[in-house]
Amino acid sequence: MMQNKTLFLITLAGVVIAPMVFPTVTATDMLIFGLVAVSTNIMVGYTGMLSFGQASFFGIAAYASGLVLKADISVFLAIPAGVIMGSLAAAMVGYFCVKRTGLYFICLTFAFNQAFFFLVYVWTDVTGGDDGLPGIPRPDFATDTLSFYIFIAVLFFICMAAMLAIVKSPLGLIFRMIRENPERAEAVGYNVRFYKWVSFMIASAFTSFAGTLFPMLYGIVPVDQIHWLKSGDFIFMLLFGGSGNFFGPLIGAVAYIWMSDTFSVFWPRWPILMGAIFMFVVLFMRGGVVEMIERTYRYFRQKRGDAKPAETTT
Amino acid sequence: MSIILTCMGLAKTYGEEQVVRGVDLDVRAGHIHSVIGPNGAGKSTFFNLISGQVTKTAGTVFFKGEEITDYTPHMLPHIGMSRCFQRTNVFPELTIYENVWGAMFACANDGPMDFLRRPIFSGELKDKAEEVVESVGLSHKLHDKGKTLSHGQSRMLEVAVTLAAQPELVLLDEPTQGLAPEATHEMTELIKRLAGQYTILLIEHKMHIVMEISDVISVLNLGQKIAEGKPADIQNNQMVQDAYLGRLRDDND
Amino acid sequence: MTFLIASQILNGLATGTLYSLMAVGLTLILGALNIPNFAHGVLFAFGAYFTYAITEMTGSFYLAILIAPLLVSAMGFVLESQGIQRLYSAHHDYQLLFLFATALILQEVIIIIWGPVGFSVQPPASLQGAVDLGITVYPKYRLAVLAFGIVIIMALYFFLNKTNLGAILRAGIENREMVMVLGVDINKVFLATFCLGTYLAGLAGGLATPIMGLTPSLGLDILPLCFVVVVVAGLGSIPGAILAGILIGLSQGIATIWWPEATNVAVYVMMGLTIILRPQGLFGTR
Repeated sequence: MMQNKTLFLITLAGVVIAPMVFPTVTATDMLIFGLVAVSTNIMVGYTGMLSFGQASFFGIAAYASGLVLKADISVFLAIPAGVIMGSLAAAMVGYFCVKRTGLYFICLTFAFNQAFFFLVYVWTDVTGGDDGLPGIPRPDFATDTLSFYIFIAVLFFICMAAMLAIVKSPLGLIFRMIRENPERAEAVGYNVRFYKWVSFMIASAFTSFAGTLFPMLYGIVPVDQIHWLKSGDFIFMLLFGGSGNFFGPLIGAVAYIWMSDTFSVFWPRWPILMGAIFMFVVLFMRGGVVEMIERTYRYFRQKRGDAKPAETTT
Repeated sequence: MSIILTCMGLAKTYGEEQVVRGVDLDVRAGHIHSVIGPNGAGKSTFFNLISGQVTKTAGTVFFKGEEITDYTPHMLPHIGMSRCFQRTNVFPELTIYENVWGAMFACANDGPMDFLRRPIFSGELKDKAEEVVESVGLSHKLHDKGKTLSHGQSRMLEVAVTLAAQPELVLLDEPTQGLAPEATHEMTELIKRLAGQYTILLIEHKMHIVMEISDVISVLNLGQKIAEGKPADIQNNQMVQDAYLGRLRDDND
Repeated sequence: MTFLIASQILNGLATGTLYSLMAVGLTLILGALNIPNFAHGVLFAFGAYFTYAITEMTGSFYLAILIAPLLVSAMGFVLESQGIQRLYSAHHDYQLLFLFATALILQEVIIIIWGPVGFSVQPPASLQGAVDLGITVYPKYRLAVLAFGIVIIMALYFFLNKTNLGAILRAGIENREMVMVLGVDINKVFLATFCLGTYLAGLAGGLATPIMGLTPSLGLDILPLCFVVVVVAGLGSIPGAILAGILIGLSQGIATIWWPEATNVAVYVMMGLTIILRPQGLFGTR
């Protein structure tokens, strides 16, 4: 398979081309949710913990950052504020969830997600409740869509580099050991519960980071950004792209945002299409797009491999 | 020689069933100490009690003079005790090198900065990891995934992962289980080589191996220790023969 | 005030019974197949819409409540045999994601068939109006739901504990190896369990129509509540699911008295307390 450096360069090229192919706002959306998908994959794909509650942290961070921005305080305070709030929530939720494995873990993350949703929903004075939190300004230096895109792109690459470093570090190896065989990882000397919590925290912190950027894009935090269905969307993105590869989820995020932007305009029932694709991926394409590319690549290489000995015999 | 591991009155009860009933055991440093007994004698549970995989109903365990009764499994490799599992239990999607390096790093980890910064493919741990892989004869598969190994090779990897913690005491749970005669022989030779470096507590079914390599043998039957001694003594012990050896011969036929 | 409290407690009990039915279905599936059924909520909604549609067609609510859950159960049959069974060899997570994808699709199907706007449904004529209970005057229909729910739960208990088929289903949850030893095809046990679980979801949906009304988001709203009930109960306990369902219903009812907006928050406070005080759930062992 291709080296991470190559893939990083391809991503870079993609980020440069994206605003020419898609509307700039859509491209920005893709970067934000690309971060979400890649960070969620650290927990789901690398550590093997399927969480159905990542929208909690995305949403909490979005609200926190939105409130700071609305108060007209610097964006460089809004981002840390959101990340801290999201991570604190994740620390608490993670503490309770990693005590449990498998089913119970999924049920708990899911239930916590909805708890946060209702908190936001009921706390109308602060969050705007059902109407969402409108009127959020962009930073002064990035008010037009293109400069805002560049701002987000820079942050995107910083986060991607940081996450790639984590995945390639011994910590990333520990995560994979836990995914492969938690009992054995425990027996060789790793405190599995602690490292699961670390994984939960890292994934949620980066998801929170992405969450802090979201309010600036459309100037509003709609309440559905913290709904559990959103958590399902995150899973769709990383699964569709391919959870076995660090960059795979990016493909999923791009596809998801493109679909929702394109279809939702003329077909409000478009989630049916997403459900159908989701089902297809689960049934026939579990490695996602990445696996499909790999299979095709191998198929052609094999064909070429077969052709060569044939040449020598003739 | 000094005693490295002491178990006193170890017991495990599942509901009504007493699986292990108050076993005392001393393991001397440098010995190969085997635990034998018929199926259902409680050997594996006894192992799991020592290594903390199963919670103890009663009893205490001391390792190098320190009480480790309530230690959770992940603490043991850090103080020098490491175990392998009966089931082949490696990390299938990781390479052999990553399997061993990862296990080795568990005890070399110096905290957050270290687990983010330590290079995986260079430095002192790399040499040690390659050495361990070499010692079990898997060097040619160094960068292949765990799942590509044959059964015999994965048992070897299992031992390698156990040794990676660089322990003083190694608990081996039926390392030759399911191995072909050739591979069994290799494993036996490996254990003999390890004997010089480590203290080994071994569960083993194949009697000729136990008799060949053990310094001390303890016999469990129905959760109790019924005999202990040198191989020759155990072979001649009437009680052991009645309880076990006769039956085992039947099992093997 | 006593009037209000009494009727809210009864309300809590009535919706609690519905939660119990849902949670028992979820627990059965969870126990046997080892997956949380993410389509449970949407199947509940289908139970409700089917009941409405059949009532409209035939004019009989009672006939509808008989047929609608069977239709939902048939959907469950298709889902299990055509989808989940194909995924037995894959990781459990994929079965769960399959159900999630199903839920997304069915959710939209509801809107396509019945439209995006919700509407309320009248209880059958014979159960309209209210009864004077002395301390409070209470709608007949809700009392009927309460009574019927209790009958169903008792019938279910009898089925699981006193019949052969029930014993096999229970064994599928508690002791899979035993089922294999008995020579029963475990796949059929899973299929039967899934059908029974979805039947209960459909039944709860049907009973809920005159209480909750019909909105497309019915399933989306009730699914998290079911998960909370299961978390509070502890995984795999059927009596736990029944009691926790009623407990959650009651806490919603009681919260309504003092702070109507916070009924759902009360539910999650209950969950939080359970997790802190008894992490394995009220009746859980694992």
